Amino acid sequence: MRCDEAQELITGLIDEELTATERVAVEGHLVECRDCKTQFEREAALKHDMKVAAAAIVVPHALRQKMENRGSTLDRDISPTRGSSVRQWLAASRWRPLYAAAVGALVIAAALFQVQPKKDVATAALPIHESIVSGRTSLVRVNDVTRLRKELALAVNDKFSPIALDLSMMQLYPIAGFVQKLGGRDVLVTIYEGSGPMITCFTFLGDDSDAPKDAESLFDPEKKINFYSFSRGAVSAVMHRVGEVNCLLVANMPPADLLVVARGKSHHV
Amino acid sequence: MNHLDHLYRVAFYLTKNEEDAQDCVQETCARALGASAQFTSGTNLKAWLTRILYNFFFDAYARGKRMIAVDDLANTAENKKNFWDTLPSDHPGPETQLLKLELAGRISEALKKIPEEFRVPIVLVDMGDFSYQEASEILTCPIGTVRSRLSRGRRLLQHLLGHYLTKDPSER
Repeated sequence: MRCDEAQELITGLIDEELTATERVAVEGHLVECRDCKTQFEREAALKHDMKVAAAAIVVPHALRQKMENRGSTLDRDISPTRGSSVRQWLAASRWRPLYAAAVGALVIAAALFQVQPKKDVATAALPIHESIVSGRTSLVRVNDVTRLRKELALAVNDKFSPIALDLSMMQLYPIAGFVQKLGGRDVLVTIYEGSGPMITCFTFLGDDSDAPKDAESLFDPEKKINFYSFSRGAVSAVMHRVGEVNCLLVANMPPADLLVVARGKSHHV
Repeated sequence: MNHLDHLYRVAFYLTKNEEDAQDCVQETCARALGASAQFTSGTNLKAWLTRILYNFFFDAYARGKRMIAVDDLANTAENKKNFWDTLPSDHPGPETQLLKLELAGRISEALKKIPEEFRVPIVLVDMGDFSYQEASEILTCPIGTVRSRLSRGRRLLQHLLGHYLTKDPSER
């Protein structure tokens, strides 16, 4: 592979948007080419810095206040953008506060409607793990891991696949799996069992906002991934995102230990 | 409220100034209100709102119906003051806060200088956490175009930011 051919693939690699073939090709090139390896590191650093910079941009207080506090004055007769005259009326400065209140109410309601169920997935997964560990959830054990993954993916119409982790170093292996509906979303549950504490892996479509608010965020500069760690009692969980899919590991072990596991095994096998 | 911050962030980097960004967000919300029946529950609300915002920006700004701030306007003292006022002030340590402010300021200024076709994918993917697929749907362009523009845009940014971003990320 030539260096100019590698440039876009480096971008895709950082964003975890490559096919397996592309990934192997560009990773091979990075091993051989020091310049491209440096470019990869610089671009990854830039992406990280952009996220930090973006987090510093927030809605001005005045606009937020307008949208949050004036919702009660919403005039139900307002009919939005049906023609230029209506739009001019809405654009008139004297109606702006009312206008802002109306749209603010929409955004808040819509955001709550959309976001609230998403927030449930991460925390709702913990009792499921406890139920599995305690034996209250009966598991049908399987020997064929490839088939297990395939069937789980089929159960969600191949929209996504369960994250496959190689935990053999901890002598943990996938022994069962099932599909669970949480917060209105399909969640693929894979159970890893062996000589160490059982780990349950929950895979579901989502993004970083699925992490609970009290989760501790950690950016791994090597993998360019944000990890979110939280715990409830003796149960710990670590979440990270792989493209459009969230991977949530849950186990009865200290959060720091589980974080080490997640950081070490955060890529698809 | 996460979406409100996100919409404002995207609008800010698209329009390059706070006032237009606020107008953009309000108009987006108004359009969303008018088209709420078109939104399918359970689908990606953030992407849907962002698509509305981008379409409005493209219609009202990119086609030149209104004056839009360029580098010189965005760099006026008044705008800089407004920009800093938007930054949160409750970060843990003064040193960390200063570094973040400096970083945000430098990146913001650099972003304003690169062409829109490269800036928008960066704002969506790097700052909005959208996948290539989602960005391609918002921008109505192929995924490959998103990737190539991202790649070129990031290199432009690296060039503009110079040595500032050359440090090993683990050192920062």
